[in-house]
This record gives sequence, C-alpha cells and structure tokens, in this order.
Amino acid sequence: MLPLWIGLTLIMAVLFVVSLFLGSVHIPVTAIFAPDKLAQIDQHILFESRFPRAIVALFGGSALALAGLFMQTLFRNPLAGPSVLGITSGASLAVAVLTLGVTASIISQYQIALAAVIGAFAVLLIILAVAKKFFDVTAVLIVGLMLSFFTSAIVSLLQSFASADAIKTFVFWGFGSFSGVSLADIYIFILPIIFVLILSPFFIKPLNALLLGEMHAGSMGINIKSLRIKIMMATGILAGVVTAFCGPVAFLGLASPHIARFVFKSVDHRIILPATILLGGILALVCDIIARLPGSDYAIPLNTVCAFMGAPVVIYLIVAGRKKKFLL
Amino acid sequence: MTAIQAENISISYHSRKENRVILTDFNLAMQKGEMLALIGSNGSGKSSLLRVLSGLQESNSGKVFWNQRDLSAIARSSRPRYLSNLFSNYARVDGFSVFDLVSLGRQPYTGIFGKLKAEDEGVIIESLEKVGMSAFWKSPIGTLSDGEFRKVMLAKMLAQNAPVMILDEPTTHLDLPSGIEFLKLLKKLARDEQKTILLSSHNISLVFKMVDKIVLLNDSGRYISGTPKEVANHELMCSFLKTSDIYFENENLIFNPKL
Repeated sequence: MLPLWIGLTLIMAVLFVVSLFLGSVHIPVTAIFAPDKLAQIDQHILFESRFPRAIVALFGGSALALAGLFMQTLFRNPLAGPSVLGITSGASLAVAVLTLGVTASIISQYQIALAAVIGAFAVLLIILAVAKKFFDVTAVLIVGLMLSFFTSAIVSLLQSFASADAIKTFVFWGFGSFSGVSLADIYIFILPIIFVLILSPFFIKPLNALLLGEMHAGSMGINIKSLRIKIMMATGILAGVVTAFCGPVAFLGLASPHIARFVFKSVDHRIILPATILLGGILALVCDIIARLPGSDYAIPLNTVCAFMGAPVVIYLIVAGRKKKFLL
Repeated sequence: MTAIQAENISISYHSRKENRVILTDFNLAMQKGEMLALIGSNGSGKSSLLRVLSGLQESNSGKVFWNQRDLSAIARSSRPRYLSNLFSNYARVDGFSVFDLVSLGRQPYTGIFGKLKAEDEGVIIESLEKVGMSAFWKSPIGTLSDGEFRKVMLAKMLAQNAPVMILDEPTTHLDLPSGIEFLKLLKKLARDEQKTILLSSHNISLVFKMVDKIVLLNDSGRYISGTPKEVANHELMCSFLKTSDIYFENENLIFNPKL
C-alpha cells in the first residue's frame, strides 16, 4: 500500500505545480526556478492569482472530502455529503438574502463570505439542537434535508422578485470557484480547515466503532451524543468555511470518500481518513484546472466540472464495486 | 463478591399517549462464573433490561453495580474493559476482513489511533480459534453466512476479554448444531475462565439445560428467577407458555408438547 500513498502524494504535488502554470495566460514551467525573472504582470498572476487559487483548491477539496466522510460514516449512508446537514443551503439562503434582497449597491466578496458563514452556522445550530433531542440519527438527516428544501424555496421566492443583475450575482456565486480568496487573506481560509484536519485523527477510532452501529459504539465506551455533536461541528466548520469563500461546491464531498474506499479497498478509517483528505485535494485541483480551460479565454463553472466528473465516477464505482461491496 | 448486580431496577417507557411499564423492582445478583438466561415473550423487556445492565440505557429507578461499584460512577471509557455486549442486530459492514472486524474488539486497549500491538494480535488469533473461524481470518465480511458472521462477532466479543459478557439473543439465525456449539462455548468460558455470562434467548429448551439460573420476564412487569427446575415448575412459567399443552420433564429438563 505504501506505493499507493507515495503515488498519490506525488500526483497531488504535480497537480499543484501544474495548476500554477496552466491558465489563459501562458507562464512557462521553468519560472519555478526563477520567478523574479518573469515579467511583472506574469509575476502578479502567479503569486496573486494562481498560487492562492491552488491553495484554496487543495484545502477546499480536502475539507469537503473530510466533511463528506464524516457524514457518510455518521449517518451510515453512502449518499451523504457535506450538504446533507443543510449547512450549504443555509449559506445559500444568507447569500441570496444579501444579493437578491438588499438593494442596489455593490456587494463585496467579504460581505458575501460573511453572510455565508452566518447562514451556515445558523443552520448548524438548529441541527445541533435537533441532534441533542433525537435519539435516532436518521431523524437529524431528514431535518437537514428538509431544511435544504425549505431554504431553496425561499431562495426561489427571492429570485422571482429580484433584478436581473442581482440574480446574475447570485447565480455566479452558485457556480462555485476557488479564485475568491486573495493571498493576503488566505489565512482566514486555511486556518479553520487546518484546525479540523489536525484534530481529525482523533476521530479514527470512534468512526471505526460507528461502522457497526451506534449501539455497538456505545458498548465500546463511546459517548454517542457527544460524538455526534463533535462530528457535526467539525463538518459545519469545514463545509461552512468552504461554502463561504468558494460558494456551494458540489460533488467533491460526496465522491471523494467513495473513491478513497475503492482505491484502498478498505473501510478502515485509519486508512480512509487520510486517503479521503488526500484525494479530495487532488480532485479539487483536477476540477479547478479543467474549469479554467487552459489556453483559451473562456472558463466553465467549477460546479459544472465537478458534476461532469463526479457523477460518472460514482456510477462507475458502484457498478465496478458491486461485487466487492466497499460502499459502506 | 458479585460480578454484576441489579437493585430495584424499574424500566418504563413514557410517551404522551401511554406509560408502558416494562419491569418493576427487578433484583439480581450474579457471581463470577455464573451463566444466566433471560427468557420471556417478545416485548417483555429482555433487550431493555440487558441494555440497562450494560449501561447503555437509563432505568427509571434503581441501581446497577459492576464488581460492587455503582455503574454511574464508572467512567464510560473504562466500561468496555469490564463488560462486553453482543447485540442481535448489527449493521453488516463489507470492506472489512474477519481479522479487522475482530480487532475492533481490542479498541478499549489500543492507543489513540487504534494501532494493534503483538499482544493484541495474539488475542485476536486466539479468539478466532475459540470460535473455529481461524481459517477465515482474511475473508471479507461480505462473503460470510449469517452463522459465520455471528461467530466472528462472538470472536470480537472474546477479543475484548471482559469478565462479564451480555448477549442479546445470540442463537437466533443459527441452525441447531451451531446454536448448541455456541452455548457450549459460552458454558466453557464460564467454567474455565470464570466469565459471568448473561444471555437472552427464545430457545427455551436449549438454554434450560445449559445455564445455572433463569430469569423469566412476563408482560406486565413481573419476573421470577431461580434455577431452571424452579422456574419451570412456577405458575408464571405456565402462563408464559400460554397453553397447558406443554409439560416439563423435571428429570431431563425438557419441554414436551402433549400430542
């Protein structure tokens, strides 16, 4: 298995470097060795645009992948993803209220991010309150899904009354993008994610115990209610931060754990937790590179690429893995 | 020195519409090396009682003692070292090998990330041998039959190496030979390793022959406990069996239908 890990780490490093050099403007690969020899404008593109974008993709993809894994194991449901708690919908609603409801004036990137964070955490608080009351974890799942539908309905309502410009802003936010964070502010993005990533190994044992059911985990001495809360909070932070700065990125959270389980042929979280984090970063970088249609002047939305790539991959995994059953 | 003890345990379920009393003032004291079977009709509260004794459910009143210590004073994380459970329902997870699954039983003893030491691996292999599943150690869980899966779950419980073992209907889904094998293994553990074993079962004939004590729960919260012979001849037993077409042979401890 070691070659697999080394291989994937190498792929990730290569993709990271590649993403620095692909785009609508051509920057030669040799520039790594002598960046100051580049033209001023090329330097600016490299440092201020491509580098932060690559970092956001790497950490954003890892964060969503880990959040997806948490949700799939907690709810013992292979269809779960980071959006299943309704957090992404809460963020969408808040952003919709801001862009569609508030009139006229130009809205800054940071106001959108702030609104998204508030929306995400408001929903998270509701979900945590529900989780404390209900014994059955499936109930929490259903409440989260219903909240998603409910907020979508309100968003549609807002859209029906808004101006064309406002709708455009909101729709663009909905496309998802890793280019929304400047180099100076990159710390606000990666610090919360790194915080959760560092704590994540402590979830390995409890997550493995959860695989056999909550009753079993309880018999292994785990406090189930407390574990649920911790997992949901970690997911909330990961999904909330990424949605706030990148918009509602689809698929990465759902697909990465499945791919990890398929590639490493295991459900043991000692392997799958780090594997999912690694694969999430790789997938995000791949989608981001494709989305910017290198060499051309056009770009396609990130979410479109994610869905085009994600859906067939998951279908293939289910068909190919049917006999071996690594779904969950 | 009692291994596990229940004092005036009452369990009831409250909802807005009704108050269902499962059990009132239940008392029990088990010594080390004793094997007890809990019987009763469906819904009589066997699973609830086992969960309360395992610390997985709160009773409405009364106390549970493990090794003479009040259960509520024992830290949750150290509980699995004293008592292990086998449930009747498990989420069957594929993607694990038999060895991996049994290794989950070592969680109370492994470090933060669950890494297994040589000692842990030894216990796992030994547990698989005891249930006769050593040959399957590499097999994926998805390829096992129900009976084989249950044996692996028993091996996991053995790997946990707790002095008290509580099993909820362990012989359901097992064919007769496997069921007998299972109970004989439990009996051996009680006798040779002084494990205290509590199980619930629908297979009355089988358990009556193999256990030291029987506890019968009836539908209205009453219970009787005693040796198999004592319980078999008790009037509550007759109402449990609901028909006088079954009679009990004291000598052989068999229930025979009157044909």
